[in-house]
Amino acid sequence: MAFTLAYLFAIVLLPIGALVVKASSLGFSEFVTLAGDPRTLAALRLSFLTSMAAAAFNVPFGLLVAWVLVRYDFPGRKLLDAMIDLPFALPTAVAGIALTALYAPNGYIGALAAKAGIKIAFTPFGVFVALVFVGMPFIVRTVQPVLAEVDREIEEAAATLGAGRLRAVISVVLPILVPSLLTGYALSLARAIGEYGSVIFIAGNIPYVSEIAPLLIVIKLEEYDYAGATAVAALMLAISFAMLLAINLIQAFARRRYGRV
Amino acid sequence: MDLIITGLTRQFGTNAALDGIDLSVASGELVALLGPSGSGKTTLLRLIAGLDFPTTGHLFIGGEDAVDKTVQERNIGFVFQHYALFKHLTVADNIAYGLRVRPRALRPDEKAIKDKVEELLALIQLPGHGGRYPSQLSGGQRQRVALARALAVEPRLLLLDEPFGALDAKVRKELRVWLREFHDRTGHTTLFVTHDQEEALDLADRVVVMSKGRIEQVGTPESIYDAPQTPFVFEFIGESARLPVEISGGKPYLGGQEVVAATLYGQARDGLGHLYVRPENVAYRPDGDGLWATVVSQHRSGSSRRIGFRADHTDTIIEAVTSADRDAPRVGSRAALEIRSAGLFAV
Repeated sequence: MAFTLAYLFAIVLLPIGALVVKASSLGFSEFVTLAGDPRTLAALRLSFLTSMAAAAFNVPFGLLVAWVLVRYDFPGRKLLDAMIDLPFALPTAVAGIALTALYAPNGYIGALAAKAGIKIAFTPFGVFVALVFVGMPFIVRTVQPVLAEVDREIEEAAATLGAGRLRAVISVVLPILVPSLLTGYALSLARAIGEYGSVIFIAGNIPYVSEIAPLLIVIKLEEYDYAGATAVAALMLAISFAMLLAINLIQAFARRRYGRV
Repeated sequence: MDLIITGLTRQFGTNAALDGIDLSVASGELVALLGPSGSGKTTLLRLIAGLDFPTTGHLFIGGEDAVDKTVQERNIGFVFQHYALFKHLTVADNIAYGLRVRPRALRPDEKAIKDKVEELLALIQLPGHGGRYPSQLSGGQRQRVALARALAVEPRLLLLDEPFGALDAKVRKELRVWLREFHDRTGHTTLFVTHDQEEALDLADRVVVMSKGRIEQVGTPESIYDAPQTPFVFEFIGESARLPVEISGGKPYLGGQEVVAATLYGQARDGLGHLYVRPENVAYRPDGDGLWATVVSQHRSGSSRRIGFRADHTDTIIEAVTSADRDAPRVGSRAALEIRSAGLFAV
């Protein structure tokens, strides 16, 4: 108990505390000025909106992938299953370069999209694509074990009672998966907000357009603007904390509502 | 509604889980499908429900060919061994599920659904439990809720897959009695799967004994127990001794001497065969005619006494059951066995 608390304190609370102390040493008006900087606000907005969008996008599609992996047997299933973890394991810079190569205007998909008049790389959409890529495994891996445990008989029971396939899945399987989907969303979101390596290549980092908040911190650090970096960091911390808290509350509610076993 | 099954076969790869099943169930009957695991009884139940489809064969529910109909169209009540209740819904919502998923035109209004749920809760003797969740109920209560849920849609057939399999012995007995009364009151045509012969013989109007994807025998519990038609049924239902004999002219011989049985049935082709004898059909006397044997064991079990005999010219032990107050014969003493009823089958 004491060890765990000490460990938690040293690893998690100490750095966060240092950040808060540093930020509070700025003084309120200075902090507001730094935080209210339009470039900072644009970066924060981009970071959080694309992260939320990417995590939300991953919920249905990650569920679909998990469903296929659990419910269907096909040649190469094990291989595909192992590949899900690639975005976890890949150094983020490698992912960034790969995505850029693919989606840049001279890349395979980027060229096609450019013909259709859509620009992917160096836009917020590019950021979104990269965040979808890194966030996907979280949904799949949290839903998969829960889905595997779902008793097929409940779907059959729904069918004997007259429910069609889709109706049965939505009304009796999905509610069981809601808590794990929320957990997956939270993890995917957390990863996306902190993501740096895979995004900066494809984003192009144009201020006000495709510059993410973590990058802004690095830029400010490189300019020896420690106060500015701290302000952005403190803001990110506050927003992330608030979001995770909200998700946890929803989860607790969902578990009460759906998690009965 | 009545059920007629003709030539139903289900193959899984090259392996036939069901092999040419013919069966008729009359309206209002309570029929048990009895067999060891792997005998195809659950497969048969799933085919009737439409949860699986036959390779060949037909089935008619209420005179209507149902083989191409989906499970949703068949309007069957199915109760699963592990209840398969929807854990995220209350008991009332579980029971109402089948009514709520109906297309709008066929769906009763909320008031009617509520009344129906109350009526069913009363029927399964769980009034006032509608607001609970399945996790707050005992196993026997959950199984009754599953039954109510299946009955809510007014099914044409009620199918129960090992309905008492997951319950402990005491609850199982109680629920068995309850189900029999329930059936007599509601009169649904009901088929239930079980591997427990006592359950089948106790509960059903008729018993279908299955083995290896085929029907071995169909009949009333009395006829299944008293006159098994195949060696499998003899060995599977109740207790019996299997005596290797020679068959000549339809009669069993042991060591050249005829074994006389008052009632003898079975297929008696000449050659080697087996004579099946139940303990309660064996009487013994210290003298007289009969199959001479030596007492090898005797022990009392509750209100009865079981005595083991080794008949002359064989190593097989034949058991007899008598009342416990009759004096026990001494081990090693000789006795003449009189066999009241036996089955004779060629090997």
